[in-house]
Amino acid sequence: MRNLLQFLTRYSNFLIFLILEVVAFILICTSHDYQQSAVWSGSNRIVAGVNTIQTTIREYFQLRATNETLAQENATLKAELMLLTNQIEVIEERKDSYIYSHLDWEYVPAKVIGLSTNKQYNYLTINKGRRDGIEVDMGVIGADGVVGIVSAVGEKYALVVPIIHTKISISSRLQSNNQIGGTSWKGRDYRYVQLTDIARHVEVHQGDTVVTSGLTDVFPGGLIIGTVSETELGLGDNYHQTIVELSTDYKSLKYVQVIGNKNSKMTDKIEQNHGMD
Amino acid sequence: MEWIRQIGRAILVVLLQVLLFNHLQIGGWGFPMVYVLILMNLPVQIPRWAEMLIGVAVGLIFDVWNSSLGVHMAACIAFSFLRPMLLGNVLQDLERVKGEICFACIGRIEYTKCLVFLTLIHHLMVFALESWSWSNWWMVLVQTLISSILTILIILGYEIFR
Repeated sequence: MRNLLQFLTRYSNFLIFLILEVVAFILICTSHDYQQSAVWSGSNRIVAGVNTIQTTIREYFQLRATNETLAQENATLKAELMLLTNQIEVIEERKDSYIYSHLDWEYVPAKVIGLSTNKQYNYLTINKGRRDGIEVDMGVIGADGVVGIVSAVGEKYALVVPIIHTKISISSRLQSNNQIGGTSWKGRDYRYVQLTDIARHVEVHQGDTVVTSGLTDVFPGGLIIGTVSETELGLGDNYHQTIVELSTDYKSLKYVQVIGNKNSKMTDKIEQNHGMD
Repeated sequence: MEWIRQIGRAILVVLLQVLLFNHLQIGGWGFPMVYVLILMNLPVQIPRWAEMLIGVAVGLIFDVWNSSLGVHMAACIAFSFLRPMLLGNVLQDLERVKGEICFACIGRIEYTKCLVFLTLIHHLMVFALESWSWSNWWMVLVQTLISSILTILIILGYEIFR
């Protein structure tokens, strides 16, 4: 007994060190395995508060540039509106259920108040949360294309996993030939991602557009992800090695839309029932 | 009054880190983690268990900020655990140092030696734990090296002109 006590007093600092490190590793493991708790992440109120102040200051200095982009966006939106008004008339004439299924998406506009692009696991924080109807696994898109997926929701803020996160893959489609693949990030340059699972026999060209596949409930099909910037096919490769330049510039991302599928609960239920059979 | 000044500086360093240094990045090859200055300059007389708990607190602040729970904490604990051992090793007359540690008061070469070693260990742990796999070990090493150089240069710059 005395020996044990002696041992403990002698190595007490080392034991404290070991215990604290074990606690840290447990924290790392749990936050990797499960959805991050909103309290201990970027959607935390204090972090989000300071980030909001920082964003406000930065916005002030970018007013002129923002003004210009807004004016441009306005112009494109007006043009689109005109086209769409035309199309509504066409749709009204033949109420076809396929077309209506595309109208089942809800949009919540949000502002980006926190953002990282320099880590393996990047996150961004938006200023909308549970009380605005945001839920985990909703899709997030920006003015230029797909941004990411909601991963944790606080009362007023939510944490979004962007495409530039090494653990996420987004179901994608090549617009020119409808081939389905997955878009994922390898962890270095925040402007480029990789498109995988495009088989050898398919032709991939530089400049081809990559869009969402529409096979999941997170995004509707046809939203732009980026364009093919490089593609390579070695002699023995079964799949193309394709690099895609993202259409979204994360560094200048300010406003996003969170989209939710109104029917998603219904589809989930159907899929579950199907799985049980 | 001394400790008020120290706490004030610690808060300033935290703010500088989250508002400025977190956003510096050299083409995705790392960024400086200047906040290790808070742990580096703690007084020698502080009990070792208290030093490690301060490490936990500082690490947790940046973990919450970066949504990387545990990563910075583990690195900071190691930093705080190794610092007294290293100081005892480098300095023979550790007892004569009173109050916080600085570039001028413990000797330039000794301070730089400790800083370089501890920063490398800390940064290596942060990047290795963050990537959590062996598959891109070379990138972890490059990130560690570039970030450490930046961190050490900034801290030494501050220590020289303070």
